[in-house]
Amino acid sequence: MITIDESDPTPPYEQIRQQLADQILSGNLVPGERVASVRQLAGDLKLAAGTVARAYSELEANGLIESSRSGTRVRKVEPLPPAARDAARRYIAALEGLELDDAIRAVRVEWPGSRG
Amino acid sequence: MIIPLVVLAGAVALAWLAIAKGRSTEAFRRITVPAELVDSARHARRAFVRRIALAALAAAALGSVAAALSDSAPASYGLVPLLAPGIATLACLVVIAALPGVPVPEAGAKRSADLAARRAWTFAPAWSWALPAVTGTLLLAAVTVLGLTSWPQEDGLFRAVHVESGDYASTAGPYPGWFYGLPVAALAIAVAVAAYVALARVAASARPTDPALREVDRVMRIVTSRVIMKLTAGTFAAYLGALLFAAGTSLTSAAGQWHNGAYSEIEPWTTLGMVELFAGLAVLVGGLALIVLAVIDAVKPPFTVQVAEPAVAAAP
Repeated sequence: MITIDESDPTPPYEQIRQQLADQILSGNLVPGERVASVRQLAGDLKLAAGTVARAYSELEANGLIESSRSGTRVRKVEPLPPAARDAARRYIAALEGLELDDAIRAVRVEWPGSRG
Repeated sequence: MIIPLVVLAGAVALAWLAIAKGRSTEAFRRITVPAELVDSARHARRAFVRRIALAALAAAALGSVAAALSDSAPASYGLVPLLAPGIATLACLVVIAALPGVPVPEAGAKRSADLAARRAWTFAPAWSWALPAVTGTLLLAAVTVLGLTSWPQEDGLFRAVHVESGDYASTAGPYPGWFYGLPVAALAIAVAVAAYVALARVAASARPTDPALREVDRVMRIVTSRVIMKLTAGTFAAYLGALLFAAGTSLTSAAGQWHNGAYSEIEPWTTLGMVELFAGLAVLVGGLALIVLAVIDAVKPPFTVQVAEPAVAAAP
């Protein structure tokens, strides 16, 4: 499922790219699985086909999907390590009333120091 | 006069039996939506009914024109009225393919969509493809066999059957040889292509972006796919039955004649003719029953709406 939030300042193509990348890297979409065509997704989300095509071409450039005459499929990629997802779950559980953006920002702020 | 009545009564009885048996599978038509979406669901239902009415109107109009043309084309030897029902089916499928989506009004800043690719077979179960595939293949096979066994009339058109045995020789018609079979085959192929395109376009058209309205949309697509499948299979079966019936009638007539002062029945053609005749009647009844079921599916409201109970707040 892909959700576009018009009140979100993130451009729609980036919302699609992020959500699709998350689903592929989390293993929700398995390698070889066929995903909706540009036309279908654009029609369903009431977006211009070019918006979805831009998200797909960036995902293709990142090696997450591949397009052919038979459609668009998920490529074989290394999923996120289970340990990282477990740690993320613990981190989320420890947060009290923090928004997603702030939670990510907190990780970004601490990242350089923690990694030397 | 009695045979068409028996065929129609048999078709209605078969359709009634199928409805009685399938009533338990109709639960999917009962949809529960939140109160704020009831108007959207009802709007979608009206749009669905309008589309079906338009398809039926196109079918009736083109079918009637084709049937009316038969009076002005006496040299067609009944070919035009034979094609009229198939042309009506084709018109219906073309309208559905041209208007594949039912608009569902919705509001809100958030829009969501499934990532799964939708294909022509997404809303029609795999087994439902078997019926049009089998009846269509049998129809084309029957056209070929009947064409190969046909005999030219004096005008050179292959619309008769000829039986010879010793000094017995007889020709009878109308027999569904190449003259009738080739246009029927061309029409059947056109109907099959239109049905596939309609199914693919119904599946691919845009869905509502609100997950709560997705069920309303799914039911309308399932019902439309069922109408397409039943109408296509029913048309193929009705043509197959009609061709077999006509072939059986002509073959029986050609194989049984007064000859040298005695009534002769040439075997195995007489028996084969009777088998074709009764098998044709049975298949024709089955085909008409499928068409009746498609019409029932089309005219019935696609779903009934129930308002979801508001969630009760948990006690402190």
